[in-house]
Amino acid sequence: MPATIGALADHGVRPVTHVITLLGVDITFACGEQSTVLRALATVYQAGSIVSGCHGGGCGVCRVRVAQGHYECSAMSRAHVTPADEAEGITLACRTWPRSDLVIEAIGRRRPARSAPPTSKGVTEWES
Amino acid sequence: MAAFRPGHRSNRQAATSAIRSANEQRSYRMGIMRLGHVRLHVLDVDEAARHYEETLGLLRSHRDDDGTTYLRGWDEWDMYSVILMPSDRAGIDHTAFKVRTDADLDDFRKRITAAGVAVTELAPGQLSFCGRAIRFDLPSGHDFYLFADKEQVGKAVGTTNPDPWPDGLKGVGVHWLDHVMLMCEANPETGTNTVADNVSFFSNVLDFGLSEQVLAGPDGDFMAAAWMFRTSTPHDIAFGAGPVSGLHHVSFFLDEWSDVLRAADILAKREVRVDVTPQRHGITRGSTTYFFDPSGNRNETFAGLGYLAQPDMPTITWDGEHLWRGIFFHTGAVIGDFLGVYT
Repeated sequence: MPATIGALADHGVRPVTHVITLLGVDITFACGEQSTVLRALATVYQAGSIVSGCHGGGCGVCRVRVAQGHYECSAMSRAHVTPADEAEGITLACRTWPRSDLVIEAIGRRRPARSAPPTSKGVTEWES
Repeated sequence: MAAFRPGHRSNRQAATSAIRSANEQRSYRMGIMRLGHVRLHVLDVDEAARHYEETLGLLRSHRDDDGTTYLRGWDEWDMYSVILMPSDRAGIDHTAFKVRTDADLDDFRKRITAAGVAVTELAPGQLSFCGRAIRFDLPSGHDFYLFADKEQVGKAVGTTNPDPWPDGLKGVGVHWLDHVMLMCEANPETGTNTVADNVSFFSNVLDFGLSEQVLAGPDGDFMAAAWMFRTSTPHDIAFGAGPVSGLHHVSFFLDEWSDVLRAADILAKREVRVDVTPQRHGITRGSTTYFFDPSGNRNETFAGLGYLAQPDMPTITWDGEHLWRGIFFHTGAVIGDFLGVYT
C-alpha cells in the first residue's frame, strides 16, 4: 500500500502544526513542531517587532515572552535569557519549538537602556 | 657548512639556512605581525566544531578534555587561529596578535603600561600552545593578547614544491582567519566613544595604520567605525560603535569572487543561516558573504586583496550619509539589522 499522509498519521508521525499568535501586531502563523517559532515567522512576516537575527541563540534580538502555551527550548545565551527569565516564560524565538498553540509577545533584547536616538542620520542608522 | 657542490640539493638548504641565520642575528624587530587567533564562546561545541570544520573547512589541531577545540585554515602554519570554547553564551572571549620577537613583548609591555593600561604577564603555556604572552584590556573592554611564539604545524601543502591547494578540503575550504570586527561601546549623547579610543590606542601604542573610517554625527566628527592594519591589506581588525561591546564578525580569506559565490552555495545547501548574500564592500573593496555559526557568532568569507595598505597611505573617510554605500556598495542600503545584531 502506498504511503500517504493518512497512513503516516496512523503511525503517529504526521508533522504536528501549532498556531502562534504574536501580540501587538495582530498576526497569527503556523509553526510545526520541527521548526523554531522565529523560522516559521520569518517565512510569513519580516518587518515585525521580532527582529530576525542570528538564529543561533546568541544575539538576543528575538527575545519573547510566552504568555500562553507549551514549548521546548535549546541552548540560549545567558547574556540574554537568565534562568530567572526562563522561569517567567522568557525565551528566544529562534530557540523555541512549540508543543501547543502559543501566544507570544516580543520584548526585545536584554541590554542596557539606550538613550534617545541622535538626530544625525548616520549615527541613528549606525545604532539602529 | 657542507662544501658547495654545483646543482646539489644541499646547496639550497645551506643557502636557506644562512639567510635565516642572518635574519635572526639582525634581531629583526617588526612589532605586531598579524592576527594570531580568536577564542569564541559557543553554546554547543560539537555543533560549532561541525560548522567550522565541515562547512568552513578549517582543520582540527587539538581538542581539550572539556571540548575546547583548536582549528586552523589549510594555508596557515601556526597551530591554530580559532579556538571554540564551550560556554553559556556566544561572543568573543579574546583576540590575540602575534609579534615578531620575544623582545617586542617587552617593548609593548612598557609602552602599554606607559599609556596607563594594566598589563598582565603570562608564562609560556598559559596561552595554549604559545610562549610567553602579555594581556590587557582594550579601551572598548575587549580582552587582548600579544604573543611571539606558537607551536607550528605547517601549511597543508608543505614547503617543498607545494601544490597551490591541498586535496580533501571540506566545505568552503577557507585559507586563513583574515580579520575580526569588534563592536565597541559608544554613546554620542554622553560623548563616550570607544571606537575612537581604540583607534587612538592602536595607532599610538600598537603602531597600526588606519585605512578607513566612518565619521558620522551632526558635525561629522563621530567616529562610528574604523578599519586598521599591520599587514599590507586594508584591515586586520575593525571597530564599530554599538550600545555594548561585543563581536561583530570573524572573517576568513578566500581567493576570489567566484569562491565567495561557491561559499554561499555551500551555506545554502547546508541551511546555514545566511545574513548577507555575496556582494561588494565599498570599504576595503572586498567581496563578501556573511552568515552565522550555530551559536549566532557572525562569520564572513572575504575575498580579494582590496588594495595595498601602507603606513603612509592617506586614510579614506566615509560620511554618515554614505555609510551604507561603504558597507554594501551595490544597494547602498541597510540589510536586516546588520549593525544591531551581534554577539
